[in-house]
Amino acid sequence: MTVRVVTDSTADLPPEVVEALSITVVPATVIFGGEVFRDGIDLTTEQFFQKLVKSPVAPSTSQASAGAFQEAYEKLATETDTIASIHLGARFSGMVAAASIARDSLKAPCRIEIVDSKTASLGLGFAVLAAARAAKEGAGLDAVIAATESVICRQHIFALLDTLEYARRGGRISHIEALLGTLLHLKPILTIHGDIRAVGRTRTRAAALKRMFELAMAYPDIVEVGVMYATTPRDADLLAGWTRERLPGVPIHIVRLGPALGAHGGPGVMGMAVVEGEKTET
Amino acid sequence: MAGGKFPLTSAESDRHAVATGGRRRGRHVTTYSGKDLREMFAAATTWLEQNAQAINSINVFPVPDGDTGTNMYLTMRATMDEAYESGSEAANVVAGAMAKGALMGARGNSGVILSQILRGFADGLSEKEQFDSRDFVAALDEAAVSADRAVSHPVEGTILTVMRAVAAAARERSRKLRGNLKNVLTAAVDAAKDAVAKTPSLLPALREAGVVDAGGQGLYVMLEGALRYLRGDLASLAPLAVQDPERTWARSTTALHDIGETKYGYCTEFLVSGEKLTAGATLERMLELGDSVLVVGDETLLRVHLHTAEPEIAISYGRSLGELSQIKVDNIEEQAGQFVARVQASRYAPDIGIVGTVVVVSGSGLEEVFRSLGATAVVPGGATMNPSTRQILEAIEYCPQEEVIVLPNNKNVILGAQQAAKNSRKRVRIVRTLSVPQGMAALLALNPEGGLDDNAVVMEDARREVQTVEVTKAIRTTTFGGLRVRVGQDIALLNGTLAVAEDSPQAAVRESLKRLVNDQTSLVTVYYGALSTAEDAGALADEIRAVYPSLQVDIVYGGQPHYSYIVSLE
Repeated sequence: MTVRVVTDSTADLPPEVVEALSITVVPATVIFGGEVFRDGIDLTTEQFFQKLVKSPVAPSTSQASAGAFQEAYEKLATETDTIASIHLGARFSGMVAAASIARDSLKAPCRIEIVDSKTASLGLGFAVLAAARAAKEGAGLDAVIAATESVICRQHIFALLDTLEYARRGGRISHIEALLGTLLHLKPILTIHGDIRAVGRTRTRAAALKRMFELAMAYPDIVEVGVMYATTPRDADLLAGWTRERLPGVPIHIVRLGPALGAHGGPGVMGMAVVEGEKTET
Repeated sequence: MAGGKFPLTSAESDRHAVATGGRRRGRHVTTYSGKDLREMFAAATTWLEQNAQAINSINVFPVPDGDTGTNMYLTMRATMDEAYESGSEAANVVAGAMAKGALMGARGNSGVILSQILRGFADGLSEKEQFDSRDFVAALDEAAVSADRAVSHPVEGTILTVMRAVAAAARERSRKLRGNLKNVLTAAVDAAKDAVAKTPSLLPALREAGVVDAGGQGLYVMLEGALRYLRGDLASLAPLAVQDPERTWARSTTALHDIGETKYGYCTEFLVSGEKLTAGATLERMLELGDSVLVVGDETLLRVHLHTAEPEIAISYGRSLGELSQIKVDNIEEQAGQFVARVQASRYAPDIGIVGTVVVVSGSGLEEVFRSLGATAVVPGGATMNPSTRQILEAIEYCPQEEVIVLPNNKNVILGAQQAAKNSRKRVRIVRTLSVPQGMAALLALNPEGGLDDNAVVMEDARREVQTVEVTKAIRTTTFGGLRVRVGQDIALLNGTLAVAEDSPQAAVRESLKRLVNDQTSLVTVYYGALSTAEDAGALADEIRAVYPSLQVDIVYGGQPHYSYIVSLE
């Protein structure tokens, strides 16, 4: 039976891709002043950012509930006996924990492998794509997991924030706040792998876009590129254009960041994800 | 400045004996010892000190931190400290000691070139425990060669031209009249005077400004001092006596530092001139702000010293009494001999990446900003922005890293930074930042996970992306690039060039922005100095926002001396 691939909404995979590869997406939870939304289902990105700017109360995000995972696994268990469930980094979210709880309470005889992607957005998305592609070609669960972990090692993701305000509220950057809190207004550039690290700071957004681009391009043999935006599609086009010049022929995916990450990055947040090619010799 | 080991008043009798010309060897040839050499240069230094202010004021740009005279004098003080320390009678040993002292004590580009001159001079005398006029001439030749090598792009119409003329004239005279140092030095001094007078014909900027080259003038003054010494012209070289207010002040304030009431904060000094000033009231106010307070003077001129965590408040108070000058704000721990304040003195700890960063800056606010950006070591420039080579070298050694990048943030610190780098065993690169905004842009571009060479490249690129405006008061009436400047006007240097003269600092900033703001500009940062207030800076920022609604305008307290505003455009 075909391995089924599960992920969560923070992977930022476009709906067409999700459908074409039969990926199951479990929605994260977004809470706006008492109201609870399912990421991408009850609340679109557009609606989210409109509310973000207007709402006096900061939104908070949360992993999908164990119940939501259970529902997803139970449904899939009627179609398959192997599931690869690949999710948002465990260091800064409870997604993997919730998935684990659901797996442990599952009664159906289904083998579920849960993978901590250690990353977010298209970083996670690319790993999920690798799994889905392998599954489509008939690979067994172990091979699917191997393909997933391979991409996780080869992907790099960077994010540029207009302000640290939202990230601060999200409470996941206290360990780097000191580095970024200064007497000057700075645009931070972060990377995510396991944990979240600051890799640069600039004074202007224009400089930040350039810096993030160069950081992303610093790897040899890039085979896939993702450009993520929240409220600034023109900047996404700019980055995509620079990428096309630098890496002609390499596929570029421009996607909109979902609310789960938008809440932490704030309006103006941008990201870039790249995947290096597999190394041929050992 | 605390007193050095340089005895100005002693050895008068020795001097008198030497003034008649050393020790005679044979009928015509007189030889001189290390002691003679030392006394000659000591006299040169004294004469330089007395003329330092005058030399400072002939800077091409009529800016208050023109400091060639002071820098050359301070370089010579360090030189002579080392010379007296050597305790030797041998000329080559004394000359070598002088070169060593100059190397470490060099301040400013002129100081560094001077140290190279002394290095060459010492090389020229390397075999000689006693020297005669021929040896002296040979040493001058070496000195000229060494001077030229000190600068990567030697420019005519500067101290280099003067030094070359001096060596040539000395050699010429020596061929004709052997055995007479006085004659040789007379020829040297005449040649120097002449060469200095010709510098405006070689450098159009000098001609337009109506001044001669300050470094060349400094060299001329030094040689003149040495000659006066040889002539026994002691009256004009009366060493600064005990009555000298400068020395008394230095002694008193040093005593306060030795007692060491406060271990943190800023040692703040200034002169205020006005009317009906009262030392008592000022003293009381200063005591509210800190300790180690010293206030001396009369109703028209007061000199103030104190240790405070809020130097800007003390200076602000001073401004309310009258015109301020000679403002000095130094970090106390740094003054105590450690140029780098301990981490607990700042809220910010340095980022420890692979490459360390040494930053030179003047201004308590600016120091804090650089620390907040993660600079590994901060060297306070002092009121003239010119630390010594030794200070920069110590900062380099202080960094835990083996690879270090130095940001001089002032073109007058670049040679000193290069000299320090050469003398360090670490791998050091200088990123040629010419202003504080350039320094910040460079520091922000540092990749903590990158190596020395890669970082040097990205930092060099980054410093070019920012534009700088520096606003200060003109210290003399002059013309530059067609711009007429009246003394007292508020002038602005745009990316290092004098381009604007207005009647208020705000107008100077406005006019500068008109020239520099373009489509790429998105952020303007106004760093206000010790002479400005937060209110004025705020009002200026509001004005700028009104004229350029699409720009982000930030105000940051810089606390820098001399420059009311430093503005960066990005």
